[in-house]
Amino acid sequence: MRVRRWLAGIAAAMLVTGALGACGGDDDDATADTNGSETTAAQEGEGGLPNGVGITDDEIRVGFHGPLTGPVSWVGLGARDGLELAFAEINADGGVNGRNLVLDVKDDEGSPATAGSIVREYVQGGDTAIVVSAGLSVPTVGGVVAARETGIPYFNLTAGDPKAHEPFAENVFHGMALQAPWTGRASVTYLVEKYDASRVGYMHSEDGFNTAMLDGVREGAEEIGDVEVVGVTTWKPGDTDFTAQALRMAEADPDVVMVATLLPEAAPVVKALRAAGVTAPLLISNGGTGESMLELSDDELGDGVLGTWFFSDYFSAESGPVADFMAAWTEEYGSGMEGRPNYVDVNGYVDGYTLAEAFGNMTEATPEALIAALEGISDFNPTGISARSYSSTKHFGGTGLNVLEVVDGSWKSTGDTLDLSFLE
Amino acid sequence: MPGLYESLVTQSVVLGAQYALVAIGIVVLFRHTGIANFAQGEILALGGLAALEVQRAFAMSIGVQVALVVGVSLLGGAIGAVMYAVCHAPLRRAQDDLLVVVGTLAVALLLGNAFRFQYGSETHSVAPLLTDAVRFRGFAGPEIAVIALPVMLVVGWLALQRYTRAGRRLTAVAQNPVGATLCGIDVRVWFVVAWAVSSLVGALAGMLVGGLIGVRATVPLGYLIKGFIAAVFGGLTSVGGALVGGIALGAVDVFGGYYLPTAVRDIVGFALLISVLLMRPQGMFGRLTESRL
Repeated sequence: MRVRRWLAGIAAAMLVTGALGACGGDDDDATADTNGSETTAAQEGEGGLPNGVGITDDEIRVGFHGPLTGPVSWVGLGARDGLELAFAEINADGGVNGRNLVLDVKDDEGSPATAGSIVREYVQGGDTAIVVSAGLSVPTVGGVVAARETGIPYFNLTAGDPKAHEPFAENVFHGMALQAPWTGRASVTYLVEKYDASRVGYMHSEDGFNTAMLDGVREGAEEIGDVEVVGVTTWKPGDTDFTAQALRMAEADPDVVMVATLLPEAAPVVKALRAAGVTAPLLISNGGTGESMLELSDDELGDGVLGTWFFSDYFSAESGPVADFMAAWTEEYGSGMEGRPNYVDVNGYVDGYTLAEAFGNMTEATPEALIAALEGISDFNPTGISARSYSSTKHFGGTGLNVLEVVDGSWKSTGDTLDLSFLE
Repeated sequence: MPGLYESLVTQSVVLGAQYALVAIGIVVLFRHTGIANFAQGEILALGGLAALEVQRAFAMSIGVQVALVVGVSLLGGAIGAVMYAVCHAPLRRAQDDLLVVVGTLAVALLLGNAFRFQYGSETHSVAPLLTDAVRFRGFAGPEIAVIALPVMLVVGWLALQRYTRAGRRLTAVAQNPVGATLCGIDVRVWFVVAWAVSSLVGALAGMLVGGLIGVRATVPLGYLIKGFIAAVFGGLTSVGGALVGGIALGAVDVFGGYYLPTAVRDIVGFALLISVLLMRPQGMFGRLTESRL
């Protein structure tokens, strides 16, 4: 018994010594990277790119976390399915330099703590090239913080909360996740110009994104001058009655109203506003632009409502890149799920191609090379749906928001876009 | 266009009636079985989604509407009976009501995720049984339907308990299940009845409220909590108290929503509940039960 214990002790000591040797060694053929794994020059894939963190002879592994269960599972499931659709198309076309893209999916249940733990798990596992996240702003911040701490390349698909974007981190990138205050500022500028408005009403859900948008709205109004933000009123996500808020907005007598909301509350809020006698033009934020507004058209409440949107067309477009995406998505997943695909599906799909482009342009299989490859992407739009541009100082890839309008029960493009020139 | 106070009062009654509908379903079950059903929100969603599916499949004639009401009632009753069989009967053998409550939570999670998977996260419009063309004072048709149902339920339930043998048996089971068993009443049958009626009320409520505010795959947790608060406020054993509690909470929400920030509005509701419980632990209309050791 005692002999066995001694042998076990010796074996453990040897393991520890070996591990320390590996960490402290100066072997030229192997370089430790930020994830603690090794890149070996001898291991090399088809395209000349050596194997490395998350990159083997056959595959490139992409980690993913998002809410796959719970009230906002539509975000996580949408991103997962969009990414997997893009990866399936790319893999069917030969992959990236002969390697298949593989998505490793984990459910963060919409919890910032779980999101952070998952990112750390990926780092400890050492076999993931980049971690992609999708979720509402607050949970995603948990993942972003862990990514900043560990240095693993990280791609935020959806969160627009400033805390997810700032402070700037060289390893953290963002897809179409326009920062909330930017959206607010661009939206108010658009409305004031379009309607020659001087009183802009703002009502919002108390989620992170739509709350943070108010700062941008106020900033934009101040920048324009002689514009007042009026009737600011809120509700909690999940509320079902908006009469009080609508009455306060009616009392404020706005020229235009911005309704910054999540999908479930969008239609009931518009209904309450019209019932309270608010006849001013309405602009729904991108988080609330969806099918429910079209159902309101049956009561002649939806028509004329504007919505900001990530893409030039809505899902119902009969032709064009979004229509092509819809056909591909439906073929892959069927058409039985209501509310799917949603805008997160599309963003996942678009950024699946963005990631593939970056992997294809890597010069070495290191996190640093992946970051450089992402920063080298400029006006990249292979799907035709939405372009991405990055640089070493700009890690937000989106290039603008479009404005749609409900016409005869359908979302139609107005041809207008929100001006983001203040970012330059 | 109605004046501000008229609008606020009207909406207080409408929102209060919605909370009362949730509360009545909770009270019916709790009074007769001692169980709080955390899947009541999902049963509401079920009623609304059933109406949505029927509306999609058929043109809404009077005949279809009648069939819808009957169908949703039967569906709700059946779900209640199934919940008794799945949650109540097997878990109560452990002699711990908490296990049954946890069982209802499991059902809530199961149904909620299934509905969300199928119906997404948006609010779907459902044609109300009574249209806006029907009006009475400040109330439109869909609002009248939502207000009328809890009133009819309270009157009907009280009449049932007072004037029918079935009602007296239910009351006997609620007051003393052991004594009722000794008198030859099969307690299990009346437990099933309580589950079925509670779920029927929930499903009907979901259908009517859906015509007013739209249908979601899952009823928000906050909405269910408001139903529980209304039930506790009125007294967990009083169906009439649930109606009063619902209306009171509706007034707090609507007037509070207008005059106070959202976060403070909810605090006022809870503060009101705590104040009532400090003065009357059994709620406004509930009865204290004595336990002798």
